[in-house]
Amino acid sequence: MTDRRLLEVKGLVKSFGGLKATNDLNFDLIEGEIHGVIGPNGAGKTTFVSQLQGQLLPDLGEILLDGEDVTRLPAHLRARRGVARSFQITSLVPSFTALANVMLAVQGGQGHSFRFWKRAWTDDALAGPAHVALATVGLDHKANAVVADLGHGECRQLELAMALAMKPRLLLLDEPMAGMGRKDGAAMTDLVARLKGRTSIVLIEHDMEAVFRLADRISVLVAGRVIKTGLPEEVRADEEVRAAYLGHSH
Amino acid sequence: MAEFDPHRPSTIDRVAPIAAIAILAAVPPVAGLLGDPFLIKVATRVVVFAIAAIGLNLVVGYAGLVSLLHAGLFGVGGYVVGVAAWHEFNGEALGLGPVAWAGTADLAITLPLAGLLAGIVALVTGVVSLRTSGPYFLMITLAFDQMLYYGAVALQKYGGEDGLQILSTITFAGRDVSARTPFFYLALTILAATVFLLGRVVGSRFGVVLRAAAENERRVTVTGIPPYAYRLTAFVVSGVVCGLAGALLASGQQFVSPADMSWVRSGDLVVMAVLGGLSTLWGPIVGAAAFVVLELVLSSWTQYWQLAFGAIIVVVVLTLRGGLADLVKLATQGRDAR
Repeated sequence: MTDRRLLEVKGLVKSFGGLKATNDLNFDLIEGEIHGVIGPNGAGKTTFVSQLQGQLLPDLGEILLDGEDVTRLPAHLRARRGVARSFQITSLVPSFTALANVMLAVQGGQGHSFRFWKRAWTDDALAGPAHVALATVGLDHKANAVVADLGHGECRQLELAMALAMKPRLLLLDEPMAGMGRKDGAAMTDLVARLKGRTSIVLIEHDMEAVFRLADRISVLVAGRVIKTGLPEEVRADEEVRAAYLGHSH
Repeated sequence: MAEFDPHRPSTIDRVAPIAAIAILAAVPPVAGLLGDPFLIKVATRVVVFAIAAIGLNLVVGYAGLVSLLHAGLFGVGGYVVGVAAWHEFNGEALGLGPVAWAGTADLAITLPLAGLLAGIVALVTGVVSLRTSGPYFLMITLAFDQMLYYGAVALQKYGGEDGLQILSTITFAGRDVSARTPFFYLALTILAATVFLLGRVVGSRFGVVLRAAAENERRVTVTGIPPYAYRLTAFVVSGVVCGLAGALLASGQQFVSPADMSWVRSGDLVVMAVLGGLSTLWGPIVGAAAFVVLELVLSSWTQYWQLAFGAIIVVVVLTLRGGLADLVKLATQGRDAR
């Protein structure tokens, strides 16, 4: 690990009406690490990720990507800078095959798509990397299956394949194990573990076991604010965290 | 089940447009054999509306945006031909600022001009209307269509509400194409070119973005592609194609009127696309043919033909989710098609 900060978030605030979903949030991500974000329901985890990705713009504060201010940058331009996200609720193109979905993501990573002549489906510059990404997540055997025919776990894998196909420098994983059975969840955990070192990851996850196994560091989000950042064992031992979240306070 | 990849057209999607154009190409000789030249008129109308419906389908079927503007764009094309011919016929130059233009009835000049002007109108209206979606997009395109309609009505010099008769002989690169058969083949050539070129477009990276954004805009955006510019481009391309179709209709019937531009006409174009099938490039050809022929046949039976026509549309839309194109697929592929 280089200890270089890929991402820095300072004093982030986002309100919806009277509710401060993000409330003076500070956060940083070291290049190459998996940084877990945990917190009770309604702590503002997804709101936080949406602001990192650009779908939501914060009211106050700043987001620095590689030292550059991207606070107001629209989502598609952040994507060009290597920010990829998998959604908590699966977001795919339903009538496309798995391969076509990943090809779309590859296409997004290759600059503009104002190309009107060459057939996309025979373009090896799209299909090649798409197959690689599908193989990485273990879904290559379903390449030609339409999304509507895929199981929930497979859709989650496909989400991840699409994010990987963009060759992200910063991967935002919003509950990748959500709604998965034990077996699929374990497979996904292994998969994320294999990604360690290849890219930097912000991992939001409810499955404590998975987060504590995967994360290099963990931040605890409560009421829109990070109350603790540290190594997994530090977070596990922290009284305040236990009281606020883990519920094992004595 | 057969492998299905939305990137890749099936065999029938490759063959059907060629077959449709071949069938249409056979109409003039068949009409000659039957001694019924009226068939060529009908086929010309089918071809012209097929071009318009294919152009519109790029926006409705592929980009998922239902527009009621396109009869207006169609009319813009028609008026380019009409106005240019009027100036040529009356020997009165058209003053365009410092330039004076004598006008012409040569389609080699007026067709590109019609496409260009319709494209510009599509660009200006698209910039505004594509900022909306769903019912708002529908309403704003309807409003723009009404503006074009009343704009044409206001052209008192060119017939106003009564429309504009084209009295010059229509030519193409100096050759007389005003007779039924040569004009039909000119229109058919343009249809074939449209199908071929748009076939490349919908299969390209650009086409993939359009289709994906229609289904999941957020996904396309986070992939690093903002859909707006792509939709606008598609809107302009479809405007150009509709402008060409409108120019052909005006030339063919030697008449253009605001009635061709009303939003009801836009609705007809949408119906052709939906009736034929939105998910294929060639569906709108079938839709346009069905529309023109049904209109003709049913209206010869009763003046309340639209009642029967409406019932047919309801049945097609309810039973065939992919429009009449689905019927063709079922007939050629048997049971496992869909």
